Amino acid sequence: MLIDNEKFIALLADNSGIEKEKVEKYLEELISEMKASFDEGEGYEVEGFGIFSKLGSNILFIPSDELETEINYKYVGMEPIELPGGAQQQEPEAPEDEDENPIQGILDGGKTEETEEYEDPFAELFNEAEEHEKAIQEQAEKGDLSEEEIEAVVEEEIEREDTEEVIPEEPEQEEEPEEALEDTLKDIFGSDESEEESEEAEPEPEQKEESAPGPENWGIDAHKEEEQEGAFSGLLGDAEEEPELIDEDDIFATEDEIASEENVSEPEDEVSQEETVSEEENDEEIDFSALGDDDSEQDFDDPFDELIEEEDFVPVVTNVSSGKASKKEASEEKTEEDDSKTEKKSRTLKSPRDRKQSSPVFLYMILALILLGGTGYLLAYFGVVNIEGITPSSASTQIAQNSPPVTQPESTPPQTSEEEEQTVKEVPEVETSSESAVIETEENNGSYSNPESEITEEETPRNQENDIAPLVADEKAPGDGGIISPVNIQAEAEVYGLNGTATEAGNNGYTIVLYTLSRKSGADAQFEKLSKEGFRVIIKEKPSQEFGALYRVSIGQFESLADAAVAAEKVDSGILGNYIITKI
Amino acid sequence: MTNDFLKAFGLTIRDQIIMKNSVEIKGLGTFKAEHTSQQQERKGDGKLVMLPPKDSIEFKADMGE
Repeated sequence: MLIDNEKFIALLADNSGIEKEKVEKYLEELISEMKASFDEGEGYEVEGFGIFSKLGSNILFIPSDELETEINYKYVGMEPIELPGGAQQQEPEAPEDEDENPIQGILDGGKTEETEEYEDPFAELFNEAEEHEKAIQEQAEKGDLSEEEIEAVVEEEIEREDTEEVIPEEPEQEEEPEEALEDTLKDIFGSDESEEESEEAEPEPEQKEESAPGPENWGIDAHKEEEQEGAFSGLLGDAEEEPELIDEDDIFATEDEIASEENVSEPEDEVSQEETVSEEENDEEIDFSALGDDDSEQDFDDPFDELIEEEDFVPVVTNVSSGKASKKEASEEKTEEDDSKTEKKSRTLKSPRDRKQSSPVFLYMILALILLGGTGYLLAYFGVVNIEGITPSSASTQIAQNSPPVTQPESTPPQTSEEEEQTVKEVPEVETSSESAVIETEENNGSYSNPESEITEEETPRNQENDIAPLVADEKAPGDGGIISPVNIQAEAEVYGLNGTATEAGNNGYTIVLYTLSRKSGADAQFEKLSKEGFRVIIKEKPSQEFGALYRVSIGQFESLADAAVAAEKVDSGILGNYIITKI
Repeated sequence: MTNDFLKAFGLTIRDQIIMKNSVEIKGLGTFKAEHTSQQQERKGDGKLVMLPPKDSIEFKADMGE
């Protein structure tokens, strides 16, 4: 969409809040200013936008960095990524940009591809050599391959050899058959020099295929090594193999000569066997080659031969190549390769066996550890050995009981002594748990009516729910020693009650605890406040293991728990808040 | 001509460019948004690099003036 001058001015007016006419005026001013600066040979910069400058008759605009980034905001964070493997991926570079592509086109179409093609294979050669060395070392160190893996690897390898050795031969045969035909005799006698030069490039495509990155690389490296040996020997050995193709033709042409040559050549076991066993096969193959001089057929022959070779049908292959001594060497190499493979198999097979043998030892060790752990746990559990966290609490509590009193029974003796003085029998029994206390109070004081007991029963669960309750209940200090608040010594005063001042005699009863505070000042403040309200306030200092000293603010002194509960019902809930009833 | 105007001038053009509109200013020229899609580029050292997409602003001077 094109924003023409009018629209632009309208937008500009909107954005700036300046009137349209003024905007037009400003714009004209701006342009005239620009031109003035152009005439002076200078650029004109609009801050935050960019620089206009005149180059010849043209005006250039160089956007500012801010403008560039703002325009590219949606691509923020995208950075150039280095791509792996250059040469093959060049094709998808569809020319999209008018500016840059011409250059790229020149680069692509021209020299770079060729040079890279020449460069990369060598690099891969070197890399592979290193990889193989590493792989060999790794395998030597680890011996990690299991039997299955090895089998898989060997199978893959066989497939590979089939495919790889077939494919690279195609170019050879396209190039060479005629020359080869001419030079057959030389080839037969093993003068490979001419071909070696032309073949130097051949192992490279093989390795290109091999070097395709994949999970296979890891396991197959060892076999690659063999293949590479083959590849390197291919500089010599391929030359020996190629004549093989030619040889067939030659065999077809001059069987006698070759036969004589075979006889002349070193009479090895293989050769003799092959000749006797598979002359017919040889004839058949010759027929094939005779039917079609196509190299492709021969290509297809080779893999089969190799397959057969792998399956101990060695004679066929060697027979085809038996035309010359060098070919025998090649076959020997192959058999050697086979041997080495089998050796490798056996070698690598050993390692997993060793592992399997070693695994029971681990099992035994684990079992032994488990047994040790179990026995240790049992010993600890039954208290033979004292291990924290395992030995049951019975043992540890015996130790712990020496520590400051936590349990309620301990707090009873001093209280009971006082209570005996006061001749209140029910109290020590009541004290342990509030519910039982209620029941007992009902039993002992038959005067209490049912509704009241219901109330107390309602309240006691509340007490248990109360957050502070367990803390305070645990902290029941022995005796009344902790009471800080002043006590009314006057004999006339009521012993028990909610209001007035606390009496010393009343300290054997119950009280309604409102707060347990960690600061004495806070407790004092509460004391004053509640005293003004007319309550009997008791502040009791309670030692706490966790918090040091705590100050318990409570109101009222009651003969029984039920009294306290009844009294608490009457107190304004605003004052009470979350309260508990406990012994003073 | 005020600072506000200049700011608004830049902002307006920028906004339109971001919206892929081209802006024509009489007597000055036309601003145009150019999109460069991501592309591969071969560096001098042979490394193949994928460049991210990019938008750029192009200015074509109004040669009539």
